[in-house]
Amino acid sequence: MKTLVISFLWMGLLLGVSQGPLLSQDAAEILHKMDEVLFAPDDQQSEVRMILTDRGGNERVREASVWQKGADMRLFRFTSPAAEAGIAFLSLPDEVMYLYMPAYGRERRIASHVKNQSFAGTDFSYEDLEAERYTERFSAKLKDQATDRWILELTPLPHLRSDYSKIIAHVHKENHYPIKMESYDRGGQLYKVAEYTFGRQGDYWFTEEIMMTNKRRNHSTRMVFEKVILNSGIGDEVFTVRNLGRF
Amino acid sequence: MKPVKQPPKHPFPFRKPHHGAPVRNRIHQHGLPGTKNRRHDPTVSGSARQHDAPPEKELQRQWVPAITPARQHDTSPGQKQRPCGTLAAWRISLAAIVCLLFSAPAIYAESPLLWRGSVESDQRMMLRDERDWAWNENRLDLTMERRSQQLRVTANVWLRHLGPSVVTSSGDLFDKDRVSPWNLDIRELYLDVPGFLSDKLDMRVGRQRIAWGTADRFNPTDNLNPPDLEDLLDFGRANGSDAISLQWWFNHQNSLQLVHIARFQPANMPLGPFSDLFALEFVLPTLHGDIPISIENKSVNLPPNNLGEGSTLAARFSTFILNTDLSISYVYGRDYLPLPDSIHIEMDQPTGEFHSSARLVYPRHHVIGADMAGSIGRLGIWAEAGVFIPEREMRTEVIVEPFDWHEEMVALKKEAYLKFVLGCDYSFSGGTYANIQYVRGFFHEGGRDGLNDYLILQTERDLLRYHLRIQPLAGGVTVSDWDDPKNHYAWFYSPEITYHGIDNLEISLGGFFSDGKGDHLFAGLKDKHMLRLKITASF
Repeated sequence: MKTLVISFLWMGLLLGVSQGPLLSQDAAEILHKMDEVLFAPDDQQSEVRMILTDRGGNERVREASVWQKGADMRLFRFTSPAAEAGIAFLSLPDEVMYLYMPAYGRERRIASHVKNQSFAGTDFSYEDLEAERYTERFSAKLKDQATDRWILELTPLPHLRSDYSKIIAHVHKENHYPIKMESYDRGGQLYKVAEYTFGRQGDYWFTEEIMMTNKRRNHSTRMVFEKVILNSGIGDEVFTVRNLGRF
Repeated sequence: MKPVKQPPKHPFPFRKPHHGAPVRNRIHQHGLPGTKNRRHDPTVSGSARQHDAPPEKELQRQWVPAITPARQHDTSPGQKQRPCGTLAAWRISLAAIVCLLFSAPAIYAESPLLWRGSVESDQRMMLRDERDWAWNENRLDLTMERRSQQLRVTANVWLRHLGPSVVTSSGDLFDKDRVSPWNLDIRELYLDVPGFLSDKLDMRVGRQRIAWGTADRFNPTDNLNPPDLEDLLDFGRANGSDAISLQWWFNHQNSLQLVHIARFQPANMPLGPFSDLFALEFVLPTLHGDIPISIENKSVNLPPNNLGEGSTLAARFSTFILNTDLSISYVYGRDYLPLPDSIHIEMDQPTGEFHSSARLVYPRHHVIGADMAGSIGRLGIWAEAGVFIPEREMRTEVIVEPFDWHEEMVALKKEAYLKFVLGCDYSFSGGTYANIQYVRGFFHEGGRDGLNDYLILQTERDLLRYHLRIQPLAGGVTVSDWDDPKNHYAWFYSPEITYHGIDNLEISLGGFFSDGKGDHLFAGLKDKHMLRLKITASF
């Protein structure tokens, strides 16, 4: 069951607004700007394909439909493979999460202990996919910069529990979306690397693809977002227990 | 041999196995004196044993397919059995109607017919004696669905080949259903009308599963569907009920659900190696010791099929407060497991054989329930409780002839009793998931003196990039008499390893082991060790 508990809070990474270039900023400002880009649209829906590749090059595919509103309401329904089709996950503010499994015909409340678990067998953990604003989870320090990016070191805020000791975030200087995130485990070893590809729809940037590589296991997951619709006016009723079982 | 009246014995505290139990144990649970589990009684007399079914009959009873239900259960005198061929035709016709319903293009012109399902092969082998097969099932589980914006029709059917041949005579060889038993089971068949009359009202009508409660599979508030005890290792399975459900949503977090179930449907009994677990027995006290007598003929007295006696009413209010899901519920229904309201035993004096019969009824009760689910930090927690209030005292009239022994015994007092579950779960950073529950009172137990305590544990861990999942610790333990735990305990252990390295294919190898002492179901499973291989392909 735990493997099916989904927290696709990463959807926040889909969103973004083009901002004017900034010449110099402190780390907190940069992180704040990145949040503004990530959470710019009011809502969005998309079809997502997750391609899992093992060290031998073998691929497995997961597909799902995703709805998100704001930074903390998400509904995720698996559509493929058949064994998982119909399973739905609802994430609400304050870490309230529900899982619906058609075979049982009822929703089940899920606690936040699943955060350190793999999301549907992918290389993303629930924590990786959390869409809560970065400024509410991390303190930032400007570590370096290059021609096109700032390099920030993000440290979990003291009151938050995280499986990571730090994240090195590469933030695009012009558009403020994240280019790459390097996550380190509690022992200080590089654990995962996420690389982002962004697209643009009107005034908004959105994530087209995330390539997550697990350095420990030599395994990767490519998330591809298709049929992305922004600001379609998704109602709150979509993100309810009432709607969870309707599939 | 003249029987001597004895004072009622202390109700036997029965420990229930992980998987259900009806008739026989319920007698104990409700404190009816004089009844006993035959299996564990070494004093059983030869004459009493004569009534045990011969091996061939046992096999037949264990594996008669559901397509021939009249052969599966004892019937009242004069009750006519439905020819299995006719029944099969009826079921096939019903399936055809279902297919027609789903293919109706006028209603769902804009929506496709959705199919999903699985093919499953489940084979189990006993680990003792002759390595008998304990279970052979090949199942097509098919869910069909058509939906439009305001209407959704859903059906879930099982088409199964179940068990070995049940041929006992040469005539049976001409009956394909007995040579190769199969059945068709319509698990659910309902229509949904979301936003019926009002945006706030959802209606669901038809055969449906209405699963209440927040605990994991042990749900004292889940009383709207009869337990499906056919496969005791598939604990928590329930049959659909023909119901109408209306749910009014005050807002996104508060709702009131009203349910009416028109007809009463009892729980079905186990098949396979557990088929004799719930047999009814009566212990006849004599000067020479107790004599357990297996009740041969059990007539079932279902409630009248009318609105007043046969229907069930229920309501549930659900809300969300302080990050916690809460609900309170009420059910006016019946116990899905029967109690005997009369037992008649007659001894054939020349031979010393006992002939026995009983009439089983399903008592009315009220159930007031409450449940919650939330978290403490990262720990998931839940609690669920049901107060069961029998509508009236249930008495069993016992007549033993020719000794003119007549007595009324209380099988179920008219006093409220509480069943509850407390549970929590957690995922450790290494990837291990643990789930533990304390259960007070299994679903088959009733009466204040008939409830027992269980500790249920389940752990899971994924390995090899989620290609393999192991359940190294999965089972439960119970002590039925804390004054003498060494002789009144039971445990069961059901480890499992599952391979799902190929999409839509799952192969699991597991075992079931149990042991115990005492006169209760868990202990009754101690010789039922088995291995299980299950392969499931989804589509």
